[in-house]
Amino acid sequence: MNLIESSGLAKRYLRTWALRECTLAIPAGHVVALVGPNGAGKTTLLNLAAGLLRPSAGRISVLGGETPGSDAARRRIGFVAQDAPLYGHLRAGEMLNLARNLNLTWDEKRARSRLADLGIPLARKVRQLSGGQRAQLALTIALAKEPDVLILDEPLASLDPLARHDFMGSLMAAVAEDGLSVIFSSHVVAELERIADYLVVLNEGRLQLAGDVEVLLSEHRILTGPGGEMVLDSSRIAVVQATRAGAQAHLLVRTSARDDAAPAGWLFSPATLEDLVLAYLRDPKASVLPGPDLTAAAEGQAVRA
Amino acid sequence: MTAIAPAGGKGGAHQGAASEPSARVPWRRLARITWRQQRTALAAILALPAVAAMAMAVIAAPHGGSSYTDDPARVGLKSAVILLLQLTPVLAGLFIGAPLIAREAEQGTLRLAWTQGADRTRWLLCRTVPAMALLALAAAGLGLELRWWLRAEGSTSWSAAGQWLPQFFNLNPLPFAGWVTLSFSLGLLLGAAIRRTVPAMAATVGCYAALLTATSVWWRRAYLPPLLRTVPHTRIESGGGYGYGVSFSRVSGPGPYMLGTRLGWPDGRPLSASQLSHPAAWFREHHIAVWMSYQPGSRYSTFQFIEFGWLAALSALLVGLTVVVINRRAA
Repeated sequence: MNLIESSGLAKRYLRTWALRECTLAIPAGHVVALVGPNGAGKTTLLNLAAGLLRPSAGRISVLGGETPGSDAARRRIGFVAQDAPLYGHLRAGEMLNLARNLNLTWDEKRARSRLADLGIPLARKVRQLSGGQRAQLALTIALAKEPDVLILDEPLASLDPLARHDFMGSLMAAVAEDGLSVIFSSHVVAELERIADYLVVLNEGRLQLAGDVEVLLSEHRILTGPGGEMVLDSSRIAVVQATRAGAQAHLLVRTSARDDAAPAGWLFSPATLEDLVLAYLRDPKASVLPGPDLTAAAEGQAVRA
Repeated sequence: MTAIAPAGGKGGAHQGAASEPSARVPWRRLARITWRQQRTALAAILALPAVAAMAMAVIAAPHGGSSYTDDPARVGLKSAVILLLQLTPVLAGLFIGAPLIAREAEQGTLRLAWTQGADRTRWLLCRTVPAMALLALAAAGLGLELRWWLRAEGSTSWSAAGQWLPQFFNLNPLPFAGWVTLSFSLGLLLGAAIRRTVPAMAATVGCYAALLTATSVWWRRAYLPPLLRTVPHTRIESGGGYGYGVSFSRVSGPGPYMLGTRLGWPDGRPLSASQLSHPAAWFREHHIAVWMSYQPGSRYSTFQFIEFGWLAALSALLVGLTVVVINRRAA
């Protein structure tokens, strides 16, 4: 089952294309990080998946063929929109009641014990809660409806480092407990490796990269050596990004075979997820470089190149 | 869903009967949300006629039974009350109808509400139908109270031809209930379409005022084809000038709604422009009479039903359009 499957998906606001030619399939059972700078189309893609937007072109389905926004899709997706909107004038307990009455499936006991563990008083008004508490309340509501997948739009954006750490902690605990899939968007690149095992990179409304983190990391390496001319076998190695620091050149390259020997005078070293994401984000056209056929290496998960 | 992949983890088995495609969030649960989210507004709607009743009782009590129509203070008070009541329908659209969706769009909570299990149509209907019904009831109550109070005041304007004046006709229980529901549903639709509270409120006032004016000036007089009759005691002068007098013998109950007069032949045909320039003797010779077109007083309650009918139908249509708008539009 694919969490999100789209082909030729595009969304236009008046004259601006927020998302273009987006074809991807995100398999279930992953914690998916959707990464990209501000305005890359992350929120647009997630809102399309939640059924809050209609595509301008192309098709999108969720949870193995459901139409986004349909009864079945809404029931099985726990969605927390950007800035975790809640009714500020309600008390936390009332907010919980409201969400319970809007859903068919609901685990009240667990929701209440979660809030108790987090020290969020049910009697306090939502607008009086801290940003971290509001985010946790929104997450609690999304989890209480017992979804198959959680979709979180920038859940960390407005949180301080401590609240961010706590939020990710309780999210990971829920994932471990329920085995649900998670898709979250973020423009924070650091620490992604600890959280996500599937990466989708959007840039300027286009899909740049999508794939299993382990596979992506095994395919990408940093090549360090003297600058100047170098001939690479373009059928096996594609340069994503080249940077120069003094006499040395660093190339982030994508290779098909893991045991490739480095060219004479050059050294391979492993790339971190952060290196990889930053390299792609710096060059929005990186994905269109001629790349090796990676289908086999990615174990059936096609990576767009 | 065509397949459940093992990688999906939960596979949805825990959901049991609830995951049947036909299962929908029951109305009963949505009603609880309505109660929680709107109880303050609903209480205010009900409180308004209650408070007004008490105020009217207090004001009317010392003068009950006797007529104070000549007292300028009483006349001023009556005008003020009637003016205030004229404003209440548009307030329903401004402060209850327009913000209902627009404010949630502004605050982003639509993205919360529309991603839960309940579908948008049910979500909307459970938030609008009870409010509309209560508004109509409260308005009808206010209309009845006003009628009672004006009678207690012994008001002359509450009889005869004065009852057809827009400010009195609109405040009868049925038209009043109709205008309140129309204002509410107009605000609702404009709020859903514009998605910003203040512009939606402005548009609501504009549309409401336009509709109310058009109804009072042109439409209401034509709900039924007017009757035509000659006016006795007329004096027609040379060149088509005429004078006439109409008096209403009945003191209570609505008189006729006068729409216009003109000169015509005994069978009712109007005179042509050239015939109007004949000398006075010609008019007498041909038994030319002054014809009056009017809506009889006996149609007063029929007209109230007609007005309520089309306003209620239009309100229902506007709510239906809102359902279409929110199902088509993004959050």
